[in-house]
Amino acid sequence: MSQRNPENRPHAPTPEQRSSIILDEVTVVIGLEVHVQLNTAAKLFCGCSTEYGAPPNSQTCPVCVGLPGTLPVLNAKALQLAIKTGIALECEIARHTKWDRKNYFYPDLPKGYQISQFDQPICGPGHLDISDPKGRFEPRCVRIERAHLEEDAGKSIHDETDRKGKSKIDLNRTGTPLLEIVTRPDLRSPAEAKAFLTELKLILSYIDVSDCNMQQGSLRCDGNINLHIPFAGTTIATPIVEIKNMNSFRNAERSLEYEIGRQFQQWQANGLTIDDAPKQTRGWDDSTQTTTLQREKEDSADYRYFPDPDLLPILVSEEQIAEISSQVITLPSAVRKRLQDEFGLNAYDADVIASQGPSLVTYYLAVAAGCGNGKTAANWIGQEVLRHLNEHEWTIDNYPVDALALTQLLTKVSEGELDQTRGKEVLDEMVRSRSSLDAAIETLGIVKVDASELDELCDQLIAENESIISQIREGNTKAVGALIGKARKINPNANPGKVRERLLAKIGIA
Amino acid sequence: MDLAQHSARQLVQLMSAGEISTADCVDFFLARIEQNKSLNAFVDIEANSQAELAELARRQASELDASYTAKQSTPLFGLPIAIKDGICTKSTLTTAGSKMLQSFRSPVDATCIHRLRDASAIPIGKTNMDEFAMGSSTENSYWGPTKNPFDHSRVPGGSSGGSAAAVAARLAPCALGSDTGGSIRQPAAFCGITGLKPTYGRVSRNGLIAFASSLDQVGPMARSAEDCALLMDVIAGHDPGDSTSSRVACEHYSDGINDSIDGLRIGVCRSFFGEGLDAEVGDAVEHALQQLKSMGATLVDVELPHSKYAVATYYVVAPCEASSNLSRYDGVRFSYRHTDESLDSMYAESRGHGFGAEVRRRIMLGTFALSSGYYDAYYLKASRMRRMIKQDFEDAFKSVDLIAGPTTPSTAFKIGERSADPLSMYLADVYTVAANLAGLPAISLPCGFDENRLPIGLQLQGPAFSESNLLRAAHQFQLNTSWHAEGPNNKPTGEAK
Amino acid sequence: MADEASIDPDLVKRVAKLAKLADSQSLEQTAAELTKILGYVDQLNSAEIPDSIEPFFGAVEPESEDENAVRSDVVQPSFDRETMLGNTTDNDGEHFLVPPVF
Ligand SMILES: [Mg+2]
Ligand SMILES: [Zn+2]
Repeated sequence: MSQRNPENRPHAPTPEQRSSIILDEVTVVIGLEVHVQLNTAAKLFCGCSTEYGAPPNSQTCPVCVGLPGTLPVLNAKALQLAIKTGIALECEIARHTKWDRKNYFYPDLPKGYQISQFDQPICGPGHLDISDPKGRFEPRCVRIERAHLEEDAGKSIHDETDRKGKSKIDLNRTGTPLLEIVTRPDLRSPAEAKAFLTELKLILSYIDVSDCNMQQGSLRCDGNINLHIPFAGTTIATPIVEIKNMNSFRNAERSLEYEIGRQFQQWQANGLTIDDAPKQTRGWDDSTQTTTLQREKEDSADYRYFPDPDLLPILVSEEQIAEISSQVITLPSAVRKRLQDEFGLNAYDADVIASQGPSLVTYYLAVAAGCGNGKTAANWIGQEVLRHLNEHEWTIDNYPVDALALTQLLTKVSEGELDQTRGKEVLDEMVRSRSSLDAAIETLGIVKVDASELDELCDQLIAENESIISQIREGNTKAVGALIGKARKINPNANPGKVRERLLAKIGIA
Repeated sequence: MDLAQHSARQLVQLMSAGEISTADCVDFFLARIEQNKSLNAFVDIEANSQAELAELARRQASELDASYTAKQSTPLFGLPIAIKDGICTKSTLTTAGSKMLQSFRSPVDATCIHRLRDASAIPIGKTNMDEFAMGSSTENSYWGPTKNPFDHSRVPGGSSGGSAAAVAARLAPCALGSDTGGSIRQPAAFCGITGLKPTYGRVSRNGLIAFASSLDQVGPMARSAEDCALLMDVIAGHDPGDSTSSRVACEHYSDGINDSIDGLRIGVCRSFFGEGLDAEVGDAVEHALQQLKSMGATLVDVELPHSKYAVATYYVVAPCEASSNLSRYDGVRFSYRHTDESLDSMYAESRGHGFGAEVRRRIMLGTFALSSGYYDAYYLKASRMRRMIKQDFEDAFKSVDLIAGPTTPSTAFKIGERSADPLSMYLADVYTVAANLAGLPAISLPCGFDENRLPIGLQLQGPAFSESNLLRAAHQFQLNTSWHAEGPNNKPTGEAK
Repeated sequence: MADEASIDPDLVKRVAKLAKLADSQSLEQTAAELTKILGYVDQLNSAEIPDSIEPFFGAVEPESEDENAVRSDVVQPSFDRETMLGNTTDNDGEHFLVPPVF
């Protein structure tokens, strides 16, 4: 298909009509293809390790280097992880699945074909629901078209200086199991695409099938995007562009944003529609923040898929699916719902906790149960604990304050032994010095203020602040706040609540 | 003692009993290889690869001799064996008859080689073959054609022509070949030896350089069915390293061959005896059938209605798989690299110059047949025909135990005679390809000579995992005939009769 | 169904590009050779194959889940790099080297 002149088509908009259409009227259509490295110890078809970061070509063997005479044997764990992901995405799990060869030449593809799955993917249609806790877009059910297993290729290292030096091939990654998850074109904005990726990543970490480390390439994403432009009662679709190399969620969002603008401009300029131009592949260039043309699908490879005769089809039993289902216990959507229904959190707070991953959820549940107040636990964890984790780039697993210690702290706060502010100081100190609750309290010099000390303190305040006292007597009870501030200066351990209560009693208001 | 006249089984017995040393046995055959270089049965690149392997063989033999005790019980103790060059042998060259692999050394042994070594057999050389096993004459080898020991102006058949010639000329007591469309049986027939293509999945393909993965099988080649059984007892069996390897338990083949064939039902497909079959071959095969009948077998007519499509089916399926299997020869990691000019020219020129004409032709054919717009009409259609062919056999084997017929339509043809016409070469496989398409075992054994004293082969085909039956029938036939014992007779080569 | 004898030099060129094969033989000659072979293969078109017939791809399929040909997720030692690079002279001791990829 070569480029045709769209102007010849009947009812095509004129250039003037095109330029009168504004971007707000346009529907953005996005579908994603996500490649996820599954966290097996060994590769998909050989016994080499999948560990990241080893010296080049040190994790290779005759099979993954594609030496003559070598044969693949499937790693059963990869199949299990693929099924597990399919279950989490509510996909139909194939009872009979097979392997196909995708034939193309590339120096880091040792056999000249990739073992993949063409027409019988392990996971069939499913879906993933996304919503935005801040309500920036309507909740959406994104349909999953399929998810299939395939082997990863190696790495080509190019001479970036003058582009004339030889390229270096490292085959350590070759044969690492990948699950390619393909969505239907259901996403309507870059923000939705980002939300989808974020939620997918979260699900994958909940079910422990991938470390999803984007820097190490264990989660990679390509996007297909075009625009549907309303015109004269019909819809005009722009040519589809596949964007490669969207190597972070932020880049995914930015490149899609960029592509919307570019496609709209292009269309306004030349009017080309999906029927006029072949599918393009464009790459996101982080340095220029633009997409650049990589190839037009017309001259792209014809992959000549056919069943791999070196591998047998695989049968999956109901029992196997049931067994794996039983391992998929918690998913983020269920956690969010539970946090709202059982612990009374609002949608936003529930999302804050759930989106930190399963370990933090476990931590939260322990604290909430221990202190008997889900909201308090959410406030402290959502603000104080997350602040610490971010500051130190920790995960909850190496947070120095365990759930029991935080529970005890919150109990002291709720029982009035510590006020909020003091409590937070104590938590900071526990983190700073990695100390116990009691030790932190001691370090901060917090001692209990008894009734007589409190009386003395209040008497002193009343004696020294005549004008404030008279304001309070006149009915301005808010003025008591000023006295509490002064009380803290005199004795930081005095509980503000108790000071207030005693003061008002002494003044004769309460 | 003329070791050349001993069977593999006898040699193992002699060495196990300590009557001859394994070193003497290995030296004897190495010397015969050296004396018969003109046959070009062995790949001997720049006169050093054979020497290298010979050295290894001698070392292995002296190790066996050093550790010899009268109680040794390995089944192939000291047995020299020739290995088709498409089967990987650790550290030494494995070229598959191709310039592409002219300096390739596999870091691992094929599973069948591993099993042979465990049984104390000694690989003594790599035999010539059609490049990547594509051919029926061993003319398509980068290392030049192999000659038929019965007539040096003729081909030994192929693709395992080097193995067949080596066994026929007594350069080795036995050999391994591989059979994708007749590559063990057809050269066995042309060279007057016995060759078995096992059921698909019976012998591990791990380490066999792939031509067409769903058709390839490693198998034994020897002078007798008895020796083939001896080898099968070692090389057959499940291999977790080959996903297509069968888990069906193996029979003990050497034990099974001694039973009579009384009552065996042998199917005869009359359409095999029609047009295209050389009359002398037809006569010899008819005689063989009568021989089997006189030994107690019953002959039953069977039909294989789709076998006439077998060659057409094969020449779609095999090139399709080959086009993909041979993509790894790209010049990057181990194969011939012609140029560093640019990435594209490295690919195209390395593959263009590294592969011979027939291999290039089949890659083109397979690439075409799998390409967008042609897949359904060719690959898919052929794969569906393949099921029809398989079902024909399944139906036939409801009423017979084996099917007997000619292995080849003619005896060995002249070197160069068919090179210009690929299609005429393909038709040499007309009786053999069906067994590969259906995944069934088949054996070829000598059953006569034509007027030029060129050997004629009888093919027996059986249902899946009936190797024991095939070997028994062949062995019983050989107990009653002497065709398999006739050698090339050292007649002056290529001489007018 | 593709027409019989449908291989022309243009198609040969396209297929050779897919297969990454340079050939000193002319496109016309290759086209003629392939056409002849396909002419023979095209007899498959005259064969009746019932619609119910599924393709057979060669290996015997597993009959139950326990017959799946799989291995467990256990790391086996890799081969040493020298060995894996050893079949090509074009390496830098760490990588395979190829003409620049762009
Ligand atoms: Mg993919
Ligand atoms: Zn490996």
